[in-house]
Amino acid sequence: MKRPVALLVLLTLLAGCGSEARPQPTGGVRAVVPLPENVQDPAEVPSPPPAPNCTPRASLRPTGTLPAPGRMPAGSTMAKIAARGRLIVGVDQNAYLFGFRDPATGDLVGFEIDMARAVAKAIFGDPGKIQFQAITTADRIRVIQQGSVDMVVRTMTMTCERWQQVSFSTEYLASHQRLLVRRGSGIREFSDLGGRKVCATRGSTSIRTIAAQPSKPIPVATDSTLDCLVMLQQGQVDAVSTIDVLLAGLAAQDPSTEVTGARSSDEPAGIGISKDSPDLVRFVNGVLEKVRSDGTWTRSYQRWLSALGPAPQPPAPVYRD
Amino acid sequence: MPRLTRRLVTPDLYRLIAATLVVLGLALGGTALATVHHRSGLTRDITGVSGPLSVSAQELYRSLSDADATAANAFLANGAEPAALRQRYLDDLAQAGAALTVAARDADDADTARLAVLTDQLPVYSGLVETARSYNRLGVPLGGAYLREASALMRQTLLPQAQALFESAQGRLGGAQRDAAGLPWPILLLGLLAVAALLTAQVLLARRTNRVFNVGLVAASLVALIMLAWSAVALGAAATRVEAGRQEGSKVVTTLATARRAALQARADEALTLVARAGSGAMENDYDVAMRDLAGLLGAAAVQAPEADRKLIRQAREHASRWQKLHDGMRELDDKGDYLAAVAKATATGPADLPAAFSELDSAVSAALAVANERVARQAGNGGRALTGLEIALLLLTAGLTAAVILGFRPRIGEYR
Repeated sequence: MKRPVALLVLLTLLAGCGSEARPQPTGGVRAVVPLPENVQDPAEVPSPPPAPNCTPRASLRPTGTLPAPGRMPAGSTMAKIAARGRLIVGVDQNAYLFGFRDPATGDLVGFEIDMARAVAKAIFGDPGKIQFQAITTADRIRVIQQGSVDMVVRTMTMTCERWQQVSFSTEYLASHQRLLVRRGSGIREFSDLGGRKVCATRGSTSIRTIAAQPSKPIPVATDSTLDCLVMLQQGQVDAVSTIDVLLAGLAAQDPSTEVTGARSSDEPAGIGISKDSPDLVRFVNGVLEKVRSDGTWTRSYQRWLSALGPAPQPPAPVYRD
Repeated sequence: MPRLTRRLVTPDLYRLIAATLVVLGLALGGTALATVHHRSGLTRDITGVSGPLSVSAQELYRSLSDADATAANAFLANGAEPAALRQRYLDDLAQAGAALTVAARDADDADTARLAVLTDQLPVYSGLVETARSYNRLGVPLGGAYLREASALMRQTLLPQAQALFESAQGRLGGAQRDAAGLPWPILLLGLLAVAALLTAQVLLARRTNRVFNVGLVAASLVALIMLAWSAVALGAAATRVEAGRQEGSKVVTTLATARRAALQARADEALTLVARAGSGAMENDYDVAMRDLAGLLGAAAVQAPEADRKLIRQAREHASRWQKLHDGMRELDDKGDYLAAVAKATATGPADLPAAFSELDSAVSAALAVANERVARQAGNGGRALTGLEIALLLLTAGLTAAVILGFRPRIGEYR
């Protein structure tokens, strides 16, 4: 009696399998995790073109005292900007604490926005005479060269290679490349990231630093550092690597992440200006001198970047004349 | 034929002729019946399946695209998003869900694959929008990054599938319309052949029997003529209606649906330009292209549509040019550096403001689309009604024709017993 019953059960099971396998294999359906726009995975890492040795921090010395607001020297770049009625600045609107949209007002705020407004105030006597244009990391040099902006304040690292294409003001913020990882991931250094994905923005110095690591992580490039945080949250990269100040801005938005790792590079940030406007470079350096000495720099640092610790001394200017 | 008739004895000849006539009559009846059955099936498909499929695909695209633009506009508004925009976004999602259900009902294999992408990804999309919303409320820019990701998913994955679904539905509808509107050649040929054969048979009989009329064959001829005429007239009428539905309905629907797509695209470009603070760059160029397309398509729709619809299309064109003017004013503010004033213009809620102009354009195009969709269904319904009763009539007429032929020949064959 037992055997026929077992056979019957087996047959029923087999019949069940046969009929179930046909219509919809819903068990095998897997969700596709969305990606931010314009992700490069793995990133193309351009090899740096040969650049002459230089002192990346050295900029042009300001001439004499700053002209009073509203009295720009005739024929100067600043006079043209004054005639236009507003200063046009390329910024990041996705960098928390540096340049980001205040959802309550819709306006941009942050440490770099303060620096840009200081220049507008020096030209017009009014920090509001300014137009911000949000640009991606990869667009920074192009918009300066095309003249669609007067200057770029967007954590732009001063390098000898970039000095070939644009000019920089003196350093307004010191930073170093580090890592942002998920808390509890066990990742502490680049050496833990061999063969794993590390995100930075396209066209940044960070992407080259990632690619140059001996542990051979896989660089992934996005338009914005913030998109790297999205990918970290979605589990598509294991770490974000860019300058520590930007990473602090990311960590402040997601408490389940932390900044870690040794300082793997020196990244002085300067304001990018066209090579054709040395007068504007000298003028901006004059403004930065004032910003450093009158406490504006420290107040802005304390307001936005206190997460990085107590305000340090502003970076000392270096000049090449 | 003369040789054959000479060789056969008369009753066999009569039997052969009778059999031939019966076969022809049955062939005519069968063909007519099959054609009418097929065509009334096609008109039912237009009113019941492919027409509604097309409408649901239009609705799906509109609601998805509108959700994208609405989410972007809600992001631009300061503070927590306005309740009206939130409601509009939620309504869009609900409408998209409803349209997906209709589309899934009669989907073929290719459509099922498209629907699978949509049903997989729509919840992912709405999840991203909600994540964006939460971060926005916290006041951190991460919300904007999730919104951009959601918008990219919508524009690069969801909307192309919805568009393909619409094109497939229009193709299916057009196929049914073309099939239902063709000339019914087989019936015409068979009908003429049957009538000619009946006349020939009567001439032949008249010669052999000296009787001028054979009542059975005269009746059979009349029945054949009725079958031919009724089928031709009814099928012709149905075809004319369906064709009118195609010309004045479906073609206009395609043009208007494409116009609405261009309008929605332009609206999304407009909002995303501000969200990205991109100035008059690539996305503003996309807006210009979409608006030029919109103007061209509305012009084309005005030519294609019957007189009665032109008022709505004219209104849509007026709203479009009003929107363009308001848009230009808004862009001028942004380009002059007054971003906040531009955002205020783009999100103002008054009846003469930019969002209202777009809204009225959308309503006018949607109303014109509804009229055109309704015409497709109505004309197909009229076409279907023209065929009412014809199937039963054809059955009876075929039986009558066969009987009349047999009754006409039986006494003549009987004379030779």
